[in-house]
Amino acid sequence: MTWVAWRVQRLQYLAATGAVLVIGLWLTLSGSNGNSAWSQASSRGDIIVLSALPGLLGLSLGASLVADEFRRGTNRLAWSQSISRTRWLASKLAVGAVVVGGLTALLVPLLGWWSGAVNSGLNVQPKLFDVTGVVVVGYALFAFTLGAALGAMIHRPGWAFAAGVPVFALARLLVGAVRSTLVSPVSLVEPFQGSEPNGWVLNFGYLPFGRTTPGAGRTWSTLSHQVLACFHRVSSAGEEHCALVAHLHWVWQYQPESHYWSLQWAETAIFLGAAIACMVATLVAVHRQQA
Amino acid sequence: MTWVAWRVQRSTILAAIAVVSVLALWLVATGLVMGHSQTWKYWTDADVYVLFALPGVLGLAIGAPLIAGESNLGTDRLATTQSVTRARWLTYKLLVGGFATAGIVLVLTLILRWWTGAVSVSALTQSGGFSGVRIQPDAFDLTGLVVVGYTLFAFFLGTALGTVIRKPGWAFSLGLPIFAAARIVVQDWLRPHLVAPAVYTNLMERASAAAMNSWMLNLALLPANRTSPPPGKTWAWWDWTKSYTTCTSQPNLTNAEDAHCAVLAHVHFVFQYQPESHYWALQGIETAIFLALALLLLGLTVIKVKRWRI
Repeated sequence: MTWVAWRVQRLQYLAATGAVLVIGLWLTLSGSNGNSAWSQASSRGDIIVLSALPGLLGLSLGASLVADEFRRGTNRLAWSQSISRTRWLASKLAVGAVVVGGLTALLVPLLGWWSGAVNSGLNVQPKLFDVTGVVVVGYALFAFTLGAALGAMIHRPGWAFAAGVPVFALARLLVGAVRSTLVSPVSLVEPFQGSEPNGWVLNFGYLPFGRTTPGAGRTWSTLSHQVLACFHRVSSAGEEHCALVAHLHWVWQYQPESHYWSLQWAETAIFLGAAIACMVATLVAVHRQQA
Repeated sequence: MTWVAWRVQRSTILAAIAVVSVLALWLVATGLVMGHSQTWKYWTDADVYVLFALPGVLGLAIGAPLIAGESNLGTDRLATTQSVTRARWLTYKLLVGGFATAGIVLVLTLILRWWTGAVSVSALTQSGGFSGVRIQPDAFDLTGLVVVGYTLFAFFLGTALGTVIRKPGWAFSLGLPIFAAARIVVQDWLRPHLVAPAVYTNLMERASAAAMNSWMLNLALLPANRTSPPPGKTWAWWDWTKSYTTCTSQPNLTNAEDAHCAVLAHVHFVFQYQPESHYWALQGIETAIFLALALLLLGLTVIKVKRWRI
């Protein structure tokens, strides 16, 4: 069954390998130009393209996995063999997952090198977090299984892909929104506002002594007006004096670079869990189909 | 032939009408609420992204299965072996699909015009008298003729891709990024200059009322004899001559002294903007661009279909 699963999708997998080779080549060229003005200027657009890539790769391979069989009617052939539907689907998903996971895993070290060579940000910050590390593999695998699940329900590869794009984007947005809470952030406390710490800054503001988060019914900026008011009254007073008088201190809440890998694994785990859910959904859809 | 063309596309068009009706109901409901209370917030909700995507998705959803659906199901052989010529068959299908799409979108545009009108009133009366809502890129895209232009472009893009790709789902999927790219290119690079922008100059960094209530394109400190950046420079280059910076860095500068510094240094502030009065001209030209692209794609569709060797 493994050979059949490979052979049926061979063209798609080879095309995906070719695409990944091209991407790898481009990353090598772009990164070895180093800090040239051209690479700095284009890196923002590059990052947008790169963050979409795992999703598009996974979706295009996954959408045709089951849906193509439905479209051509070969599902009837496959399901009237001695192999059970579960094994049939498991083989197809396994071969696909190995190809998708393997291709993206090959890109991961290259992406890490590229982001260091071309960009001057920190990897834990959202812009670079999406395109480096293990999450790339997580995104691709989730997109692959999502495509397979939608294909099993929609029975047409093209429309499954079209439906998968907004669903994948929504999933990425939702997880991105909770990303900052996956690992407890670090609080840096200062008497008054200093320079930004090195990391992904989440929140900052004046908070009362003894607190590192705003109180009930307050936000990070509600108390800053007290310091500002003091400033306007006594313009020669420093910010430190104003904060001290109001019993406030400045707090930076951020994710330092050291949390990078724990955040990466946490987010990858979420997407792998979602991928497993999609695989189950595909299995259910395949079993329910009256061939 | 009209009946056949309608019958083949009936389910897609009815589904499109259903979706747009739901949207229209939401617009009417929020529009009535907005007219009576201070709500800019409907303008910035995620729902507005749905409105941006709608012309493209609608046009492609009806256009992609038009030809590709027939190729996919094999009914193109049936269609082209009838007594109706290929040209007539194609014409009727395109007319029924095109008019249905344009009609749906036209009704939606009228509702959107009324809805953004409510936003304009709200802005004018409650948010400090801002009157330049319709010319801002967000509102511009949703009111007026351009919406019909976008939709027809997406429709013919769908049919043209369908003749090449022959599978409706993939034609739709490929059409979406192409449509998005076309929209972004026209909106960001072409639209600011389709009609010559208005220019306001001042010795201080203070815009006129007309410039404030408009779509502000650029602002820079330029030499006094220029209203656009010198050759080889962009609007990001400000002419910070030393005399001007030393003159204005004195403490407690009055407005008159500030202006005098600018006169002495031979510089002035230039605001480049598109005023609300250019709205219809810009709408017309942008619609024309998209209709021209649509005609081009129509031509491609016709050529491809005529060359079918069934």
